[in-house]
Amino acid sequence: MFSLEELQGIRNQANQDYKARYSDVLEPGDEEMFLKPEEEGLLCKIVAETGLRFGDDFRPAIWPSVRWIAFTYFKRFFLRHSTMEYSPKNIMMACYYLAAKVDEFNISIDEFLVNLRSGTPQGNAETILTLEPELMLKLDYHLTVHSPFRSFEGFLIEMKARLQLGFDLEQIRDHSTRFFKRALIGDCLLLYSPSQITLAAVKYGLQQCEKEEIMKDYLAKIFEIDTWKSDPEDVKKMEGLAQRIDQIIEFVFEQAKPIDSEANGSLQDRMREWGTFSARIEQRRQAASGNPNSNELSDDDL
Amino acid sequence: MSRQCPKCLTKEYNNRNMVMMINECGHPLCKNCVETIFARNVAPCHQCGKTLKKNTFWEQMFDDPMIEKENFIRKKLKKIYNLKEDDFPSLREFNDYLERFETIIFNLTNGIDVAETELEVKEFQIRNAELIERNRKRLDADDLWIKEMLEEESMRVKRLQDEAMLENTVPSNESKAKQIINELRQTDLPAEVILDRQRKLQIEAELAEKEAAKKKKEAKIVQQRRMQETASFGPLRTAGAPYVHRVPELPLNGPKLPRIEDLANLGYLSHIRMPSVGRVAGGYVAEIGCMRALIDSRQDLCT
Repeated sequence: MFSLEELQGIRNQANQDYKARYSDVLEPGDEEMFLKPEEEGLLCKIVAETGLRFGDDFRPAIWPSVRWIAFTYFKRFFLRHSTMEYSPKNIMMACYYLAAKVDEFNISIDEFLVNLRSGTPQGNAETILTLEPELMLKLDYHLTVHSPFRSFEGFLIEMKARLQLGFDLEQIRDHSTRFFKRALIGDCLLLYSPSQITLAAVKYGLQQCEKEEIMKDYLAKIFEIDTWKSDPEDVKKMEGLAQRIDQIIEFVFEQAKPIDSEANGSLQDRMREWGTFSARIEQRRQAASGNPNSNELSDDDL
Repeated sequence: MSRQCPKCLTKEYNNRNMVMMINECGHPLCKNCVETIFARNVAPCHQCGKTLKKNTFWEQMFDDPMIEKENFIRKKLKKIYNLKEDDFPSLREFNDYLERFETIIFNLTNGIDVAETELEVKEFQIRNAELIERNRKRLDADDLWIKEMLEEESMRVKRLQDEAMLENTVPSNESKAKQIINELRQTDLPAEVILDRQRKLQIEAELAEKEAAKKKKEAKIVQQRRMQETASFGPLRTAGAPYVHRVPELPLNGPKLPRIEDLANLGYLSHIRMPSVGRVAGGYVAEIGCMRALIDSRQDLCT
């Protein structure tokens, strides 16, 4: 399992690799035009928020697990590839489509396209269908994603069965759902196991209902720790777990801080600049590699 | 293969199991008709009227009845005309003899001068009675060669077996000689006692070997018989270590799971949706769903 710094390191690496590819056609001063990793991160975040809204507005209503899977693919993909190479919006569309297939949520491409508001249905269809196999390839064909929703049900069942609750546990469901949504924006699904994220969601829900002490009872129960006979190993584990879930809650809220509009605006400008620039260096690249070919042709004619 | 019984007119098309039988006179009949007509074992042939017996019918292999007839005649006469090349003074005479044989067969098959040909055959038989009798036992040059080849094959197999056995016993022979010498040197026993003992041991070893060889032969015979009786449906696998069942472990990396049997008593099942009758009929019980949720909630909780 990674740490946050490691993740950032990998993303920087991807950024570098992309730049290196164009190193032969770069002129001085062009270095500035490439997107920096921080800008890429910001871009991904914006697209993630859009993606969340897309998931909410999708008709027919998709399952939350489909959304979780789509986001997992999205994050894993842009861990190793730069946003300069693939448009995040298209990838997000392709991720949703693939996730629906993987989770066996039956939807045809036409129904899917109805929900997309930008671009022509034809163009979108083409994009999605061409990106899909490439996306799978870049994901190393690891298409199984463990979403936290089944663990969530498991926890609820267990709490209801084992603990003497004074109140209706179902109340935490709404809060926990919000927590999961928040969690999708940040990187926590790359860093923590789904069961831990779920436990953090449960704790958050309990916090919102002001019943936080139940969590402690619950942990003691499942680790089978009593006040008079406790195995030190188990106690350590339990405390480690408690710490971990607090960590996760903190992390999620840190990552989910909204982006200020100024940064948003500047990013839009940068994207436009980048668009023209990338077209230019692409042309240069074509010319550079195209010239020898044309020379050969004329030689043949001789 | 469009044979038709001339009597009952069934074709192979009508009755797929129809078996055609044919007799000496070369007129085929289907098996059912044979049974019917020859109920009293003797009856005239339906086409030529010749008296035939039921047990002289054989199953027709070739479509052309003439072939069957010729084969029958040839086999019968070959027992009489079995002279070999070296019974004749010259090659020319042998070839003449062979040609005469073929002509006789042709005549008898096609019904040419049947009476005269039969007479000729009889005369030949009487004249060369001794030669015929002697040649009954002799093998042809070809047969001899085949026999030689088979013998060679069995010799080779036996030789290989002996070599394999020899490899196992050669070192023991050497060590035995050494042992004897050591004993003679070290102990004070008179030499005859030692040698007697060794000889006794050797005789016992030989007896044991013979018994082992006999047992092997018997085992082989038994196995052969068994192979003939049983039909094997696939490659015979050599037996390896016996299978020991180990319950697969679930690497949970988290707190312990309750056992699936305890789920009902512990009250888990009351909080999960009860499966419909259709699902239960398919084998799905609420424990399965509950267990799945619990495993997912426990998995990797302590990493």
